[in-house]
Amino acid sequence: MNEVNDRVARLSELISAQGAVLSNPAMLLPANPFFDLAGEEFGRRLLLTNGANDEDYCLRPDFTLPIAMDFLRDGGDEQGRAFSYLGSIFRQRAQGPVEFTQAGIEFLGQKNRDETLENTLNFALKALEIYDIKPDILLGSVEVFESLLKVIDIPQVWLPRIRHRFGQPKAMNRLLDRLGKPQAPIADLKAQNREALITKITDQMMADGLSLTGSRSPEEIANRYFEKQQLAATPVSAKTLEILRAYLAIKGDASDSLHEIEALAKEYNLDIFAPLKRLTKHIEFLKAQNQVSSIKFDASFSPRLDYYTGIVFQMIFNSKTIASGGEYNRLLERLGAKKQMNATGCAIWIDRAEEAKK
Amino acid sequence: MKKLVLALPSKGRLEELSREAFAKAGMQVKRDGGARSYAGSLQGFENVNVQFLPAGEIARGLIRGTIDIGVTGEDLIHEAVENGIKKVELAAKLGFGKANVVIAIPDAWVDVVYIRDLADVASDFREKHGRWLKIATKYIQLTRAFLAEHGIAQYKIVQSVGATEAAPSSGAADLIVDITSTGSTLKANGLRIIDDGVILKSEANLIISKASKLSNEQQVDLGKIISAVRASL
Repeated sequence: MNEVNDRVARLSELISAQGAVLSNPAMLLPANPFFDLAGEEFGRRLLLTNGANDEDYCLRPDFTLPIAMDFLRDGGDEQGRAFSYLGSIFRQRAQGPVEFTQAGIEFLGQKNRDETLENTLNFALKALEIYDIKPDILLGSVEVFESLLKVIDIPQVWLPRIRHRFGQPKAMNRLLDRLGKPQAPIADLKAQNREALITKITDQMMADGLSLTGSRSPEEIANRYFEKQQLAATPVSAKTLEILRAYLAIKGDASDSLHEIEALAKEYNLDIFAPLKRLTKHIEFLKAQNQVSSIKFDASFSPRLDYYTGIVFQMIFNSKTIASGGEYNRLLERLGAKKQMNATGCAIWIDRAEEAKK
Repeated sequence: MKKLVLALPSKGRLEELSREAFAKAGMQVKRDGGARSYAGSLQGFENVNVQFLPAGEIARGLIRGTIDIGVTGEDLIHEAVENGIKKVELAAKLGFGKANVVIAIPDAWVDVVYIRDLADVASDFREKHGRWLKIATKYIQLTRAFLAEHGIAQYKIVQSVGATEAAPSSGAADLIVDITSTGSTLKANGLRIIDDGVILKSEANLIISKASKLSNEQQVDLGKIISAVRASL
């Protein structure tokens, strides 16, 4: 037990040494911001309770969101700030305990992305060193994938849909299959043009007592109807799908993966070299750290939350994720920041690290 | 000695049909104090305590183990708690109380025919409307599991306690997940079931609790009841 306390003490020391403000957000938080940000899939993991005013509250499921909200509430410092934390989080699970100890760091609004990411990786490695863990590192890059989407030949409307399936290989495969061989067009509504169809949909919505503005509008429905008819007439090109499939299949040793991506980019003349160069730089940084066991890259790896942006990572030991994090430059805007602000951080699962120590 | 607890739905067609199913299997169920009483007995089984309870209560009791065997809908087992289905054993489908848990959208959504269409709509929705696509339902667990299986994550559930089918027209939600036997209520509310949107085909089942602890004598009674019902189907 003394050893455990000793490690926690060393961890606290490390956390204080980051030049960061030690943050301790409330244990009981309004639940809605979590649902708004992360949706139902994360929402199901919350431990909920009701206030007398019918508002839902949850036990703190995560540190990032309350820290980011506090940062914005305090004016969202232009120069950026760093926060660290060590404490309990609560998540529902099918079995087992629901309280976990997490330690972590958040860099919010910092200008120098590369330096911030290095600091984050460095912090995670140092924290794991306290537990004698030399992790396997899994890297993913949201920015390489997003820049790939910008340079391939595909109708604009599909981009967000493809993006939303990034990090969900099964759903992504189904979508790519569908784009390659679209189904027969949906029943012909005998609507010769867009206006006629909009009128028809409007009439039906009114007859069924639906608001024309509260949910999907007649225009929106008609547009997507014609978009489907068009896809059936001209599917996405085989070449585009080939590029996407080939890219998403790349995984393995990080340096080998980089070569494969470069080869793919050259073969199809895809200008994705800027984010690739950045990825290379951070792989080099990790290679220079001696407490890293291996570095792998998986092109289809990403957290399933769409505010992640740049490089994302997991640190794995005995096939358990002990630390995870990355860049989420869309988070602060999602939470109401007036302009885009960088955010980088990571969380360490202390219970798993302690488990590995045993 | 603790009696084996057999729970049957307390009212309506479900009660009638459950008692008929037992009668057909040669076991008369008596509701001793009439329709208002919650206690009953099973002819030929002295050590069986029959309880008449709401179907949802039976599902929860079976999962907790406070009911040993009972008749209720499979949908209610799924909905009572996450992974509720793992805590019970479905012993026999009884052939009545058939209803499907389905995803239904406004019929005016002419562009949505399959779940994959709904996936596109969910992806685009937040960008266009500044909020998540809202789904009204009381089948929260089933909805989450089904949509996760289809890779749909961009939505929010609005918990509904009754009249779910009115949620799209009242503006409480954009679409619904609800149970339907004929589909006529959905149709009357301008809703249409997505072609591959049947989440669960449910019917009344004879269900055994995995959580209850039974003595040897109770095991024997339980076995007799199950065999008799199975043989009569």
